[in-house]
Amino acid sequence: MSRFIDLTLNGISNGMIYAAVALSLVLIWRGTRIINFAQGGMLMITTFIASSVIGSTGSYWVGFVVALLSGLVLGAAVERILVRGLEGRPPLNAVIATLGLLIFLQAVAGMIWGGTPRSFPPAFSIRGYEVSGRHVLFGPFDTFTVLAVLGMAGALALLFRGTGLGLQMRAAAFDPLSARLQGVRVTRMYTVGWALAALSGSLAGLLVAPAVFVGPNTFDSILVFAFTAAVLGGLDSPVGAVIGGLVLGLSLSYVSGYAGSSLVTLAALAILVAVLMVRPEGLFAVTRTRRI
Amino acid sequence: MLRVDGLTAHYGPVRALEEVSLEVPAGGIVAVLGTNGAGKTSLLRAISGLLRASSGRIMFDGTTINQAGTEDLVRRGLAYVPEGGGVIGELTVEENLRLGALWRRDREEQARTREEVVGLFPRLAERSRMHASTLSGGERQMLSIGRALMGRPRVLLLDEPSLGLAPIVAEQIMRVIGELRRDRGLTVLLVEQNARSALSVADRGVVLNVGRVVAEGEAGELAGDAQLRHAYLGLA
Repeated sequence: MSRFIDLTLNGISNGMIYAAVALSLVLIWRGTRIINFAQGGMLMITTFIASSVIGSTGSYWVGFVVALLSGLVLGAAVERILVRGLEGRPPLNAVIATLGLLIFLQAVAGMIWGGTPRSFPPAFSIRGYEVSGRHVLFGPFDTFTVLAVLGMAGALALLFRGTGLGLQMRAAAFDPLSARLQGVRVTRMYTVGWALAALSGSLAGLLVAPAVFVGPNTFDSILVFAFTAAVLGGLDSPVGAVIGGLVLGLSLSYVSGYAGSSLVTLAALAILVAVLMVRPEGLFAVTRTRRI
Repeated sequence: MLRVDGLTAHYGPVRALEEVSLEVPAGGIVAVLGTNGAGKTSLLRAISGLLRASSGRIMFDGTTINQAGTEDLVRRGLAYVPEGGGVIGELTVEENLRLGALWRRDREEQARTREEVVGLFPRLAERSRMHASTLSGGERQMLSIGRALMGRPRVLLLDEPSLGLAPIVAEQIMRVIGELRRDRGLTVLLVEQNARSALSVADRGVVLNVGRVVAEGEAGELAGDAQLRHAYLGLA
């Protein structure tokens, strides 16, 4: 029983990280119909930046904030420089372009910071809480992980539902032409969308880095997990992305605990294939009625 | 207020408009008539910046707007309601309305305009929290016109506002257009296949055929021209 509880707690904490990356994929998919394969590379860059800043200032929190800000800037820059030129082109162009960006970012990171993964500090202790004389698999840093991701998801929900900027972003995503006819600067909304998505990704990078270390390729698998989580949630729904991340985190934690950790990636792919076969619109898809 | 001089425009190699000229004076209502494919929608798209002119000139309020972006024209007071309304079904009625005035920033102004718009179309207030996709055709048209009015435009471009509506609803829409001109001096360029309905509210009419102006004149004149009615307007 205690093992089950441990795996569950661990699954929640991991699931939140998948949720944050899934959220960044969903935000971009919703806004620009592009699967951003470079997301893992982008959050790798911002986490490396955090690592350097922490190294030179000695303050985790300065590095934390700089990483989030550089995520915003990187996301906006990628949209402006790369994505804007893809508008109106076949979807395959976007796939190749974001894959190319991923390779580019990994090469740049290798040139600047080297290819050997380095350790990354957690914000708080990773030692599990002591419950009736036993350390559970959930500590202060896990609490922080869950709260940070939920806080960010909540802030994004508030932005989308409660502000004029959010309304314009939703309008631009649903119907760019109609949005333009209401004076919405649609291309600017895309830039903001990419910036926010990259922010969400860079938060995930900071949260997962203590476990996977920081290297040009250490975040590759998280993109697979996040993509699975996003598909699980319907790819179009931010709420679905968070729930999908949680479901995937729990599933993979049980697989790892009861069947062996070597099966985790395989299990993620099996879930992805199963969802695509059985319910390609995702488990939590909102069926969109659209009359033209 | 709005002037088009020798406007020619293409979709790729296909010419959609050829040397089209027309003028809409401030506070006037001009109807653009013609059958399907006559170039009516292309004309509105060109004026609103969605279709670039190959040659000719489009003037709005004394300045040339050939190169202006759609978003900027909307902000300068040139609103375009496309065919079908362009209502965003995923948003609620209220959100659609808000969207029309967001760029204006002034919250009080927005609230005041909203009251006016809801006064014109009380139906919108009843449905304000519903998703726009659940609206009927007439309600959608009311919402799209109301949303355009939220930006307090000086010129309104309307594409087939009565298309697919019950005659009584179409009549109501036309009546509102007439009221808008009377009460606030709104200038309207109205595209319609339904000539009878359009000429009932317009001062003047322009008839397009295959991208060219083939006739123009006072609304009453056009409505009474038997030959024209037969050839281009589909009226008996």
